[in-house]
Amino acid sequence: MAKRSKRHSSHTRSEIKESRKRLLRRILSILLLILCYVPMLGGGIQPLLSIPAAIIISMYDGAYFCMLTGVIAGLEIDLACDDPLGANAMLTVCFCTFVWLLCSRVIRPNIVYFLLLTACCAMLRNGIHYLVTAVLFQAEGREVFWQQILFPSFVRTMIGALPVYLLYLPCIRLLTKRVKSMDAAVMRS
Amino acid sequence: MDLHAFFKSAKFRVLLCILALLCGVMLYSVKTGTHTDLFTRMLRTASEPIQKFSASVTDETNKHLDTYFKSKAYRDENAALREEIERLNEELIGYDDALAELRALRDQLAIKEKSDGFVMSEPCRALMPVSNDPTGTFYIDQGSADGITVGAPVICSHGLIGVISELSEHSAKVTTLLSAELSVGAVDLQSGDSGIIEGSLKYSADGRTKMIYISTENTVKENDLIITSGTTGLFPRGLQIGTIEQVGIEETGLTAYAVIRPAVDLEALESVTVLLDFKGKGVANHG
Repeated sequence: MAKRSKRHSSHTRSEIKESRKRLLRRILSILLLILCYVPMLGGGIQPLLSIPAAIIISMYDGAYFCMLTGVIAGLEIDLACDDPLGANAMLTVCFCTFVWLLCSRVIRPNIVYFLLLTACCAMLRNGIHYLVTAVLFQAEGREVFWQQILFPSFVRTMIGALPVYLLYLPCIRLLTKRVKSMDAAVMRS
Repeated sequence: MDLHAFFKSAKFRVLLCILALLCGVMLYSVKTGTHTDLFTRMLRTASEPIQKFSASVTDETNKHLDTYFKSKAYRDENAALREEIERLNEELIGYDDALAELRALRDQLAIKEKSDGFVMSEPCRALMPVSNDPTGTFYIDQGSADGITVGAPVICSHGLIGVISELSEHSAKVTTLLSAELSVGAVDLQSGDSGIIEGSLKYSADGRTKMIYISTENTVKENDLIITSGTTGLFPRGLQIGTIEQVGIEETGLTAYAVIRPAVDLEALESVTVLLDFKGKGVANHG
């Protein structure tokens, strides 16, 4: 009986430690999203770094946190690009949930999938923006808008995706490894 | 992938709730204007320090990068400006006499200075440039609490920048001359030909705007100075808009157009002024 209660308390302790690590990882994720918001506010042609940040977080975290990440990333884009609040957030929350579904059931997260999904999401966002602001109104010189604003922004987003990946992944790996090693230590004891 | 299970799960229901909420926020935001609704105001206020920091970092970075990547363009521009200064200096010799004569006449007739009718706001700081927007839309740090109204012209020492398009208590959105949403009555100072300044996506990415509805029998030419005509009562007459860079005929063949290089460098704006009132405001004068 005493043996069973000891095992139960050690299991709870490991769970608490794991939840603490998860909380730390999520705080880091939110910080990454805020950090990615800074370069988006400079005016002119800017990368939409919230997109790669939201995607990398969605690849490694749970469903509800993915949705929250999608909402924050979308609202950041809305504010930086002066779009109606919620317009980009709807797209990113759907895309982040899709990424979570994909990574939890079909693919193993890696840099190739990360870049591919970032490209898809950024292109989708810019494509919808182009459609709604230029094509729908048959605006004169809409091609120029795509060539000189939206496409360069897409390219910069893709270039900026690499530092985002390199910034996020080591933290996550470190935290995950620590959790695993602690679990092992607990089990060993 | 068991999608069926996902669609039946609580996660999917949460996703739908979030989407419905975001959709509601977006509709509210569209209805009230993208800048004036409560959520946007709150979020903008919260992110203002980040925005200021980001804008200053971007400015500094651009300045340094410009030195390396645009040195040839600056050298050419410098040479062109030197020539321009020489030409203007020659003209100035004649103007000095004319100016003295004009001052004497003004004194005699007691004509007020043109700017006397202007009521200007306190200098406003150009705060938040909108990213990925070719028309150079930006926000200023004063709003309705400072007496600013929607439609008020925004100017700086070089000339007209745009108008106030959205307003909240302590900030306002400025739509610039590059935007297709803004129409300004304009006149060519040299030839007297009139037209409408209306931005176009085709030119705004290069920092240019377009003057449309010019008569095909015009005499406008490159480097002519374009100023506001003041006929609509929305802008005072005589605000500098820019110079003509290129002239052409519209595809319909009915009117001509001119590509205008704005007098104001929209990328280098730091401080602007809002014209709260001026002589003839709201009085259309088509004569």
